This record gives sequence, structure tokens and C-alpha cells, in this order.
Amino acid sequence: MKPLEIEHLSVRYGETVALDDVCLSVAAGEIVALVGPSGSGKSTLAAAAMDLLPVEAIEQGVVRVEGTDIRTLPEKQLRALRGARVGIVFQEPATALNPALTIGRQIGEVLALHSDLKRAEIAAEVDRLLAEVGLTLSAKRFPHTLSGGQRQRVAIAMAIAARPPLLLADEPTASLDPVAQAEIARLLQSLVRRRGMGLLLVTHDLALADRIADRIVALDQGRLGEHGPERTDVPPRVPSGRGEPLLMLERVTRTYPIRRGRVAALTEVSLLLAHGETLAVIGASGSGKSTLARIALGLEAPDDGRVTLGGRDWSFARGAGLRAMRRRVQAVFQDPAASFDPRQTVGRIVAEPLHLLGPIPAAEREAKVAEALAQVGLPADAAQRLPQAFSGGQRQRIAIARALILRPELILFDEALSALDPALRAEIIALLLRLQTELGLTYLLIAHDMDLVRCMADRVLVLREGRAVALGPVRQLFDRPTDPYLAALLASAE
Amino acid sequence: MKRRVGPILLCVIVAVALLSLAWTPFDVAAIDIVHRLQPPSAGHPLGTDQLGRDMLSMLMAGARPPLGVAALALIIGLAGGVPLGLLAAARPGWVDELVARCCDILFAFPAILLALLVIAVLGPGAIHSGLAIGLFNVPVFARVTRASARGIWARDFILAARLAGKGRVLISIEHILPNVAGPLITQATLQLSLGILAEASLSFLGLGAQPPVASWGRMVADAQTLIASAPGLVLFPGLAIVVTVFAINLSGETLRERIAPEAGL
Repeated sequence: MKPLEIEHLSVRYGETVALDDVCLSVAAGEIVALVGPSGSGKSTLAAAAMDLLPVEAIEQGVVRVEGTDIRTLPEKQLRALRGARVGIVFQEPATALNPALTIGRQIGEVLALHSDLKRAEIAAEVDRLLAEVGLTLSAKRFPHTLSGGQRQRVAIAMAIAARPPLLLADEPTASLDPVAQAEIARLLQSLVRRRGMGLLLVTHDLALADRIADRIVALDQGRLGEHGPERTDVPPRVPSGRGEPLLMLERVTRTYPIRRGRVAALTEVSLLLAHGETLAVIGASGSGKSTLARIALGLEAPDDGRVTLGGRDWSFARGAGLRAMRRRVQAVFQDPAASFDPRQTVGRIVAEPLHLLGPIPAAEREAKVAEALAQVGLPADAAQRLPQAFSGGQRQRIAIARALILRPELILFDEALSALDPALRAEIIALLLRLQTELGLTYLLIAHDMDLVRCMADRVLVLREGRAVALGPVRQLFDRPTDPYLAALLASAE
Repeated sequence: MKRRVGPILLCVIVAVALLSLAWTPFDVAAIDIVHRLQPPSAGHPLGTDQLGRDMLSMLMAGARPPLGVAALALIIGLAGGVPLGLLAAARPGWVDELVARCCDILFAFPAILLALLVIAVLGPGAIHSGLAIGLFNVPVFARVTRASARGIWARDFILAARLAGKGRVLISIEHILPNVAGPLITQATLQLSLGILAEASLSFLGLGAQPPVASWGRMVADAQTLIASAPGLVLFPGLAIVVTVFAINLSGETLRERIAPEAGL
């Protein structure tokens, strides 16, 4: 009896086919990765394996967990099955844990529900589970005192507490920084081997799937493919010419008030970005990347140090001078869902930076919007629709169009491609490289994807806890990392 | 159909209140002691009250003070509270603190006590009760606006608007206000029905609209001693209050679904 067998499963929502005749099985001790672009039916398949589909879904086919057809089980037995026979690890450990209870209590609850252990035995078992997922901390800690990676370990401990034969992990590493990602991947792999569980790993991270999965199953528009999705080839990067300095940070320090005293987000960071160049800023989460971004954009002032754009200092710019500086920089943000006002049409969103030009005739505004949309490969009639009507990749194109409409010199990308799946990311990278050549743009790239940095950036700045630990050409730093922290970052991405 | 019940009911109530401005079956000010406390008949479908006035006419005209006062109070609350809430969200720091603490102080008073205080100063009357209830609405809307607006300020599209050189005022109007409309509509319908109830309470205490103007709350108060002999005199205005509040709450739900379906997000 395999932990999971899915036979000829089809799921429809009204007229929309989410899954079409899917057959899939996970053997004991096997890791099966389910990959595919967003909207390919990955999440529907995972939900179907737990019989957690919304009521409006129409199902056909058989889903067996250890030989039992779960679709015929009554609700009460299904609930028992979900915790005891199938463990789940979600994408976001911050929301999967109850912030009001200690981690020991939460793991203990699973044991109390799904095992016959006595109270004293439960405490011992909780400690053993914490050790098994590689945590050496007290069971009395609260989730908010833990890092993202530690929280995900607690979530995994909860998922495996009842010794389920099947583990479902839905993008278990997507919200973590690269070092924690690699550790969680290794942990999942060793747990599966040691316990002989089946693991169904749902992800759009092909690199992760490659690294730990025994088999990779690709879903595309609800159908199973034979192979993983083909990676679109990215054109080789032509090194940009060095021009005049455009952006300059000199010994920039920024601190934020906390309950007692202040905490430093950036400490004496200096950098120089020349016209036409691409500089990547990398570092684990909390290293000060986003603060650096806001300071470079002039949205926030440093406590100490100087930030100049084209030789002008952000902190002395006022009125018309400030507007002139604003026209030279734009940004594309990480989450395409949060970067647009959901109540405005794409046309209004893309036209927003035109505010800096003062009042302009409606016809001219529309022409500029159409031009910007065309530059990113979107049809002109996109302007009348709402951003919600577009897919993730298209939304990121809208964000790029908004950044382009003023013809700025510098565009900052704050983790702008990390929410996209690999095929889309390659497309957007190609688009950005083409735009850079055509329009002579300068890019500042905040990233934690080392592959992206390698194919887009000329130079790289490594931040650790707000300090610059390395700055130099990508090739030189990446091929022979002298800094141990950078070496760890790179190793985690391998 | 289910979605239309509330709005239709509310429209009928408002229409009847407006109609009573121009026409009622009988004059509500005409006292006719000879024909007092009559049971329902062809001439008086709901009978007459203790002063011989036609109950149907009284009920129609009695709708005006609660609806008018609640609407006035709502407008005062929105006009005062929403800008305050937007300001507080746009200026974290001492401005935000000041607005929040002022709201706390107003909340420390029970609403009806605050209204009594205002009326004690200004004197009884429909307009004054509207002002009194409206004063209590201001911190309610300030708080709801501030809480929702702070969430919106943290979103990336606000950074994009700031990159476009837009200031706090423009961002508040263009981006924040439309996105807090959902919770505001919910709160507005709640405050409207609370306003109806508050007006009824003040009228019951004799502090609302003054005689000879008819008002549901005072009709209940005037007839309370007759509840055993003529229960209809208390029952009909009481029922009118309940149905109106019910209609407003149902309409609010419909409105929210129509205008801001994503408000729950």
C-alpha cells in the first residue's frame, strides 16, 4: 500500500477545468515534487489529496491514502486522517503557528489528539521531536521569538508528530531566505529517508525540486507532463560600459527606534552606481536590503552619510528640484499583488508617475501609457482593465511599464522577480536586458536569487546585518568568494 | 431577491416619511378627544390614540425625526471622523497619538450620557439630538478609518505613489479613501441603525423632537401607561423602529457586497 495513490482525478470549478485525468502515486520513502507555473493546478491537487477542496469543486476519480479511498470517508474519520495519516507543511510558518501558544504546547496538541501518549510522555516526545527537526531550543518559546527557518522547523515537527506515512509540503521554503531554504530542504530529505514517509512536495522552485526529489512531476493547465517545463534560454549578458556615476551612497547609516534604544538597519554603507550599469544587492532577510532601497529612492533619509543622484543630494532637494530628481528614478516591487491599487485601472496605474510632469492633456497621457505598455509587450487595451484580471507575469510587466513611463535613468527592482516561476522569470529577465540596451537604463537589483544576479548584474554588493561585507564584479566574487558569509549564501543556493 | 429586501423596505420607509411631509390621512396635530382610543376601522385603519389622533398618520409622520436625526448624525460622524482618521494614518507620531487619545476620551463616556450632556447644554430638539449623536459618531469613524488606512499605507502601491511625487494629502484621497470604503460602509450602516435607536431613546425621554411633531420614540413614551388597554399604541411605533433598523442592516449588507466585495480581504 502506497502512502498516496491518485487515479484519474479530474476537478472542475464550473466551466474551468483545474485538473484533467491526473494519475500520481507517492511510495514510502519517496519524494515526489509537483512543479508547474502558478495556476497549473498544483494547489488543487494538494487540496484534493486531503479532501479539502472547496464545496463548489466537482471531483471525479479516486484518491487513496494507504489504500483507503478518502473520498468515501465520513467527515469525522477524515479529520482523524488529516492529522494522523497525512501531515502538512504550509508555505508561511508565521501563519501556520498560533502566536498565543508555546511551540511545545502546539506540538503536544497534535500528540494528544492523534496518539495514546500520557501527559508526561508527551513532554518527552515533544523534546525528542524538536531535536529531530534540528532545534535545540526550549519548548516553552513562543513562535514570534523564532526566526522564519526555526518556525518552519516547528511546523514540520507538528506535521510529523503523529508519525504520518504521508507528508504534504506546499512551497515549504518559499518564504525563507536562501540559507534557511537550503537547511529546510535538507531536513525534509533526511526525515523522509529516516522515517520512510512519502513526501509530496508542491513547489515552483525547480532548483529545490532537482535537489531533493526522486521524481519530478510537472503539471501544466491541469494535465500531467512527461518532463519538467523547459527553461527558456536567457541571452548571455553583455557587460555594460562604465559611464558617469549616477547614484552614490557615502557612509550611509540608518537606525530605527525600538522599545529600548535604536537598532541599526544600515551601518556606513557606501556604493557607487554608474550610468548603464547593473548593481545587485544581496544578503539574507533582515540584512538591510530594503532600507538601502528606500534610501536610494529618496523615500527615506539616512541618519548619517550622503545619498546623491546625478550629483544632487536627496536631503537638500525641495520643490521643483526634488521633482526633477524624482523623475530620474522608479522602482518595481516584489509582490505584484500589493504593488497596485486594486481599485484603479491599469491605465491609471501606469500613468501615475506622470503626476511629476504636472497637468498634461488626456490624449498625450493615453499615448504615453500605450507606448509604455507596448514596450513591455502588453496590448493597448490592457489600460481599461483592472490589475486583478492579469496573471503574475503580466502584472510584473504592468509594474515595469509604470516604472518606464517617465523614461527614468535608474530603476530599482526590490525582489521583483522572486514571486515568478522559472519560465516567466526568464521571460522578464530577457525583457529587462532588452530595455536596458534600448533605453540605456541603470538597474539596482535587490535580490536573493543568485542565478538572477549572475545573469543580470555587473557588480554585486553583499550586505550582512547592515554592513557591506563585499563589493565587486559578480564573476570575481561568485567564482572565488573570499568572504565566508558570501560563500555560505552561495552554497545555500547550489 | 434576498438582496433586494433590505433596500426595498428602506426605500418604502423613507418614501412614506417624505410623503408625510405633503400628505397624511389626517392632520397629526388635530386633537379629537371625542374619538380617542378607537379600535381600527375603515376611517382609521390603525385606530386612534389617547388624544384621538389617527395612528396611521402619526406613524407616517413619526418616521421623520428618527430618519432625519440618524442621517444628520451619520453625516457629522463621516465629515468629522474620516478626515481625522486619514490624517492620523498619514502622520504616524504625535498627530496619530493625539487623534487616538482624543477618541479614547470620547469613548470613555457612555454614548447616551454624552448625548444627554450635549442636550443639557443646547436644550432639547431634533437638530440638537442629531448633533449629540453625531458627536459620538466622530471617534467611531476616526478609529475605523485609521485602522484600515494604516494597513493600506503599508502596501507597495503607496511606495509607488510616493515615487510619483505624490504627497500625503493626495495619496490619502486617491489611494487610501477608495480602499477603506468597504469597512466605512459597514460602519456607516451600523451607526445609522444605532442613530435610529439613539433618537428613539432621546425622544422617549422627551429630549428629541418636541410636540406637536410626532416621533416614534415619544409615541411609545406617551402611550406606556395604556399598554394594557390599548397595546397597539406602544406596539406599532415600537415595531416601526425594529423594522427600520432591520431594513438598514440588510441594506448595508447588500451595499457592501455591491460596492466593496473585497472589503473582507
